[in-house]
Amino acid sequence: MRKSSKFMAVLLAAGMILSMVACGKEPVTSTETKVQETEQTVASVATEPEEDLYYNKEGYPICDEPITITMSGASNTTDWDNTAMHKYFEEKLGIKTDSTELQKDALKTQYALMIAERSMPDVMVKSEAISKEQVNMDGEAGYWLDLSQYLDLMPNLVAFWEKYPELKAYHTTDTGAIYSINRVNASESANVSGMIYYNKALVEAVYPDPIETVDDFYDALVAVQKAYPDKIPFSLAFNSQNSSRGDVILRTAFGIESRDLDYSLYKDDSNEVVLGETTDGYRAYLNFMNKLYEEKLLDNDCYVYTEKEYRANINEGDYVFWADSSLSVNNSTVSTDPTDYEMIPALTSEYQDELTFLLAHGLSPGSRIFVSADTKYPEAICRLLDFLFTDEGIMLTQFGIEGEHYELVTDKYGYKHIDTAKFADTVNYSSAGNWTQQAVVNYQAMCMWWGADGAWYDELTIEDAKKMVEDTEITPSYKSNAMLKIEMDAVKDVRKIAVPLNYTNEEATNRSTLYADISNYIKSNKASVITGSVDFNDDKVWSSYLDTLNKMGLEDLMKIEKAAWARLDARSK
Amino acid sequence: MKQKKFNKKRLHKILNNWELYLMLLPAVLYIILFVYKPMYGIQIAFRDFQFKDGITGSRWVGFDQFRRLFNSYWFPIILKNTLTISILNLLLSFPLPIIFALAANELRNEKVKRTLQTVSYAPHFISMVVMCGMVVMFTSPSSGIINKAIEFFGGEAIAFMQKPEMFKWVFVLSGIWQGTGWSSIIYFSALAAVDKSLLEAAEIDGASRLQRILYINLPTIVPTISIQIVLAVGRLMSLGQEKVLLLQTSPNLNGSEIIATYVYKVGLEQYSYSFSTAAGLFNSLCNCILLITANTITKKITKQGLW
Amino acid sequence: MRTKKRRIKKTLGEHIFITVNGIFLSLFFVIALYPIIYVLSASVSDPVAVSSGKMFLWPVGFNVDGYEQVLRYKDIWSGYANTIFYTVVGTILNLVATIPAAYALSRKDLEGRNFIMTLFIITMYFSGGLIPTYLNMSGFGLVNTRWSLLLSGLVGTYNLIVARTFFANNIPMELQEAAYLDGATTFQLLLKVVLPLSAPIIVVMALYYGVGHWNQYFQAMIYLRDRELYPLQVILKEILTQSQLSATGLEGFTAAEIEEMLRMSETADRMKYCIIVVSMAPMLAIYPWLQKYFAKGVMVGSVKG
Repeated sequence: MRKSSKFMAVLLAAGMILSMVACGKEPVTSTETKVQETEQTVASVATEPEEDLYYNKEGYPICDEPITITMSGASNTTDWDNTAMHKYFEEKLGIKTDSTELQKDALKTQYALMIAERSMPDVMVKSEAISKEQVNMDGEAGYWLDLSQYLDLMPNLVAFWEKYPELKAYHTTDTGAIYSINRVNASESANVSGMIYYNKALVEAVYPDPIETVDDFYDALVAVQKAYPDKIPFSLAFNSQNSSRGDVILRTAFGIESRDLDYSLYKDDSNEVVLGETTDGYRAYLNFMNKLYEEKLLDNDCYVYTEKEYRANINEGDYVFWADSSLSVNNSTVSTDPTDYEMIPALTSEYQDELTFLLAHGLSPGSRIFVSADTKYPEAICRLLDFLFTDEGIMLTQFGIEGEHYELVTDKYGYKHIDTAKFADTVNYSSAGNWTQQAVVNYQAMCMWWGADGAWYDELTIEDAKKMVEDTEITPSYKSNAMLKIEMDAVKDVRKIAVPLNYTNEEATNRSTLYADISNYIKSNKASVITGSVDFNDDKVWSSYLDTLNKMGLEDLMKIEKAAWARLDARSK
Repeated sequence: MKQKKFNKKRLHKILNNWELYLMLLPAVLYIILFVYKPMYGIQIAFRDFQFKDGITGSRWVGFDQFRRLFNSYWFPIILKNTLTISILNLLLSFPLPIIFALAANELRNEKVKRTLQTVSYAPHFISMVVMCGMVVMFTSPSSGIINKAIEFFGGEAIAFMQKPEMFKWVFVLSGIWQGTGWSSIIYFSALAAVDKSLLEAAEIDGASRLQRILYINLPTIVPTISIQIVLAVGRLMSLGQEKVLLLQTSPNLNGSEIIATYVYKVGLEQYSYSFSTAAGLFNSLCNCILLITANTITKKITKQGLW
Repeated sequence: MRTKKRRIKKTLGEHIFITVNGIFLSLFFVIALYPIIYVLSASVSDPVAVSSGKMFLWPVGFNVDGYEQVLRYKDIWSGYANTIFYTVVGTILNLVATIPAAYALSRKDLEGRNFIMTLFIITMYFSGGLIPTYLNMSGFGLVNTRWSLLLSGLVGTYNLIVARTFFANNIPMELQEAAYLDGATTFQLLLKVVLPLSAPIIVVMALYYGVGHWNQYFQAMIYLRDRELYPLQVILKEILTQSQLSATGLEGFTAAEIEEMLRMSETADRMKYCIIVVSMAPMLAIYPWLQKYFAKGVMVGSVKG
């Protein structure tokens, strides 16, 4: 008897679940009708008679009668609507914002929920956790606005993209739609980040020759190790995106021409898309790194450091050579003289015969704007987006208003710099930069063309740079940029890496597990080789590594990548 | 005839106990409205979920998502790691709170006892990020206190965080550090039910402390222990990702990648709800089987079970 | 009291036991105490010293800037008030729903007991997942209200089982039958006879649920939009996220952007440990008080006798 009642219980529970399954149909159908409704409203807006427009087709304000749009994105605990930038939108453009700041950690979840519930805000900004693939996919499903339909309202954006066709190619999907706009780092100084630095006095005392090949680098490390036994010759922190970019210098030296760390796609000399982690250069690179690790030339804690420990150690002067994204990121070295340090932007080896430096493509993941397909004001929002690409918009979104939040000062060499010191509220904010971010420009959430202050670097001549390096009065951060200019001038081959690829929905779905499997395997294998638990000097080990990659479906993955790259090339033309 | 009589008796029993059903009502209403009602979502695991098509409208793909998981190169590794870490965790962190509660219960000074209990439960409130930061600091090969101790005794420093085979120990031992005091609460409360007069009588009869613990205190908390063990076994496969991700480094990936972290990584680039739901369902099914097994065994031994 | 007089002289075994036990517990004490001291010291230390591992036990570069910042940070205080509200009201609701249900399930004469138990146990393992659960909550109009936090997780199956086990084992059936003979209704029995004997388990339940509410982060993150409704843990998490850099894991930020993040993380670093201390303090203060109920024990023994 008891047995049968137990069975009944299970049966009933199962029945209950099934009935729930049936009940579940309701909310979904309601969303479906909602989709149709919005499609209709969009269509009706397009056919509306022209006289009654709520917005101006050109000139500012965009809306004579102010409108309110809802906005959302990852917050940094500020009240967005009260920043100077948002107030400017309201006063000068006639667009008031009503923002909901979401938690950075929660953004991905919140995004899914707003899509599921179809309750997207009019505009999403600062959404780094949401990948472009995701936005494109949901855009195609009708959740996000296809901005390409409104290009006639965005002359500044169009002009801009004509100048940079690769950016247009990046933003456009294969069906010709544009669902998001991404921030671009404009100046070269922003895109050269990632170097190996060293303490000049210490190194030159024991290794005065120039360091140009990987063997020179090795010899220098050996000399340094001998001379300064209490210091660590070379360090980088693999956990820190920041410092592991120094690793890119070494990888490039072995012919791996990508800035991605565990999955390096690039076109080789024969214009063929290859995965760097399967090349002989990669094998040589890992063996080189392992040699450094085994001989304790490379910090044996390199896989354990957190960003902060690593940074603290740089400040303490524990390292002779180290990798970082820039000298100035490290606050205390800037306060001293940057000319005490030297940098290595490129090295050569038998796999790379010329000094080569890979510039970042400049597309920052930090800011991506996309617009709801359900918004009542698509035109006004598109005009607002266009405004972001005007000179005024570019300055406003990064620094605020001239004379109120910053001023342009000319240095004695005739270059212009941004200066905020005079205006900043450093009583309530921890620094001038912090004040700009929090009170003025909302962490540059709407800044789409970033680094206008780096323009001086791009214009800087080598002669002036050399003078600046000797100059004792100049600001350390400018001085370190002048040094950078000189170093980069010596590099023979400076080229920009390709923009990230677009995948179709089907490709993206197939790719997700393949990519996770393969990149994870590469990552763990790389660490094992460097720390010495796997030996790539052994041909058998190397070929079994390649075999495993193939078994995981590398071929299928590469097929997807090659197709995507071919489409990118086609779009860039 | 007999059947009818039985039903009548049953009905009578139900009506007679109407108050008990009323007591159950809020809880049952809650699970029906807030847990069972959205449960239709489980079918996401068998579909290729797309927002625009909704849960019931997305394409039915059967066991494709499960196949994706099982066919992955990493699957044997993550399954092994999940099981190894969980079982080790169960073996080590289950008995300790019991021992601790029994031992602390022997303290005669109430103030000392109370302080000890409060301090032991405090680590539970320290955020995981901070706890893991401390673990990394302690295990550092160059400056960590553990390696300093090893070197002091003439050993060689171990890079704990870089060795795949060390990961489970780091994970489990740090879990014990943070959780023992908190887990012992239930045993402290159970020990409150120990018959004081029985203890006194035993003392007069000359039973040693150890004997009193073994023959009086322990048996009193056996029902609690057996339920806890059934529940713990039934949770074996639900190892969360948060702490693992905080302690994971590239060199220890082979020992630290578990089902949850793997699913998390697959979902990083693009949402894959169907995939993660399928993985979750797989875990739940394993847990269910484990729970039923553990319950059956415990019931045989202690006559105490969930059903 | 009588026993004290009659206490037999401690044997050698007794001495060994006390010593071994004392060593074990002292060791335990030190190990558990360490993180508290660490967090306390870190909250008054120079954040750079803390993150670089220079601070080990005692404060390095003593200052109370962090606490000053926390005091000025108004989100923390509104979060605090919210957390107290969610914890107190939420726990009461949890207990009201769980304790009677657990008692009912502990009664062997409850027809359909196994079936109802199975219903609950299923909820330990199967749920509709994030999206349907959210849509369900949204369907009731509870999203972005305090109710969403109070109602989600109203009855935890784990807690239900623990409480049920207690009732089944520790409340003698004879006693209950006697109450029925005296003409008590089941509700009266629960209130007048069962609950007074169940102080330890009620305290444990209150503690489990209360701490659950106190540490609640995920539900708040999903269901709440207005900052005024945020509990403390959300604010704490916000600050922890800001202070962690490597978690970003995205290539492509410029050096200047990273510099900005670093600067922000320094501010966050300074507050991090202070908030942990501030959020932990009430839980530590309340525990010794709750513990009294364990020490008192139940009078089961006297009933039996």
